[in-house]
Amino acid sequence: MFIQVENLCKTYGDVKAVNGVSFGAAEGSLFSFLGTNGAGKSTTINILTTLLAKTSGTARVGGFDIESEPEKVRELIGVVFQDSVLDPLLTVRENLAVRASLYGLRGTKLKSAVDNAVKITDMLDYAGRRYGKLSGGQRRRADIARALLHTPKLLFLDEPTTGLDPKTRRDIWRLIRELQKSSGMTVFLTTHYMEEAAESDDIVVIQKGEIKAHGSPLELKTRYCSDLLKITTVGGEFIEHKLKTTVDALPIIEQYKGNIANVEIINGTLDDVFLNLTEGLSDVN
Amino acid sequence: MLIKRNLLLFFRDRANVFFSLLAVLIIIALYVLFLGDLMEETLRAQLGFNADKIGVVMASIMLGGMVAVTSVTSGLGSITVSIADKESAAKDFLTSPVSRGKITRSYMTGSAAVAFIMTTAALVIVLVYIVSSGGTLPDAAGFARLFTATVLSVLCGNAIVFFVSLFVKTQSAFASLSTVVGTLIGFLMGIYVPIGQFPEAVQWVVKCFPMTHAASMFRQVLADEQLAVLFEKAPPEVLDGFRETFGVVFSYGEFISGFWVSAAVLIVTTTVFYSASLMVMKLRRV
Repeated sequence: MFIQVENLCKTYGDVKAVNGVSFGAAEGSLFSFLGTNGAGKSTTINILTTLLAKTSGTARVGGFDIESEPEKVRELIGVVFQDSVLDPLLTVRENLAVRASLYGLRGTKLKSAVDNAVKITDMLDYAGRRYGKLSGGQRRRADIARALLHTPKLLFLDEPTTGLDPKTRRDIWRLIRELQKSSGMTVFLTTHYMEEAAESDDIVVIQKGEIKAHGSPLELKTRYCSDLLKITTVGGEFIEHKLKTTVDALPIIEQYKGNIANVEIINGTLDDVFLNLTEGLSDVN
Repeated sequence: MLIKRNLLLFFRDRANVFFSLLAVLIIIALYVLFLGDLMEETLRAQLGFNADKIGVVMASIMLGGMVAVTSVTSGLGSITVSIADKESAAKDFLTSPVSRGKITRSYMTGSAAVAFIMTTAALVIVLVYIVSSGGTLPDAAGFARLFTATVLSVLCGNAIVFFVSLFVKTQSAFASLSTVVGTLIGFLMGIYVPIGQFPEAVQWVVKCFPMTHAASMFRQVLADEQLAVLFEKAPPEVLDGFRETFGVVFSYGEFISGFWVSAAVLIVTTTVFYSASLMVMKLRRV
């Protein structure tokens, strides 16, 4: 596992922000960490990115302990934060050059790292413009370019598309997926958009500092949501059935055969999984 | 690269540059509007005769103080980069392998570099003004002493400003602090009111403020030669009294501070404040 977290805790006085969390993320995987606001996502990310000290438990990134070897961890990770962290008064290139220098890059190596980051994030047209003058989508690309300057093995994306329009979100995600495919880096994602997590290899849902569910999108959908069969009869009667699996619809449809005006099967989504888990509903199966 | 960032962020923020020079602009405005005439009249009364170039001498004394003010106010303006980073948490810096110490040193060096550039620019403007008003440029030794005064003034101002910045967490709080300093510093440097006209207790406060010694160093280089010519016919004690009144030198009982004593005061203050900053950072594990 590229990320291995065991019984991680973070407390502020009596408040347990993260309470005994354990999970792992495989190398090269897209790992999604989901939860409502205040669930403990950002606290966990801040601990894993060495910004915050844990209270107890262990966490290793790339085999390095986050507490005893933070410098090693920092060399491996790139982080796209929720908020902008680049300087509005500097151009994109100037911002990237400053940040590349933080990783010990100098001279031609620094220039080539900046050029490469600008190229792969498709910012050639506006890399010479000040960051503060860019649109939201352009800024996000610059933020991602910053996180990729030192070709990290692990990329943290903390709600990377919040506040962006659907087209920009799609473009940003296309970019992230291309990068992951070409570099094989591990991606640790937090997001409020469940459709963004649908292509994850693994999902963890955290609620009130504790893990509520862990599995692949299919596993979670199977366990925590159901398909819905809607039948409208010839006589105008409206019938709904929750289904464990889609094929369970067949005997019901058979039952109403000859009396069906309309039939519809609505598949469960990750949104349903998320709502069922975070609103305290039990395992639907 | 980090130092370059700090310089770019300061000079591209026009409002920041303007406000860091606000105290200086106020001094120039006050001098042009009435302070210059007022001080010339005071000097004429003290001399008892009307001499040539009184205006140039007064400009040298007043603007010499202004150069020292610039080293503090521009240092205050440029250290706001570190306060802004502190407020925003500078998460991208803290998740990189660069050491916290290196980041902190870049703030110190960047702030000192900005203060040096601005103070040198102010000094050049003052020299141009003095020459265009009929005064003369210092000789090579004078320029060497001006360079010494500039470097020590910048380092001392930077050391004090950096130490204070360690205890300020928000830009708004730092802006308020800068306004207070910008207002007070003209008095502390003896620019708005000659030091000799303050009550005895206040005079001691002014004389013990380290940056006043930076002003004294600039004044000595810029004005001493012209003062000697101006007071040629006057008894020596009149010149001594004048130099004390206008903050060219300071007396502590029988002891009179000269250029190198003031330089020593600045060096000691710089060392004390940089050491104190290092201790605070070490305690906080910055």
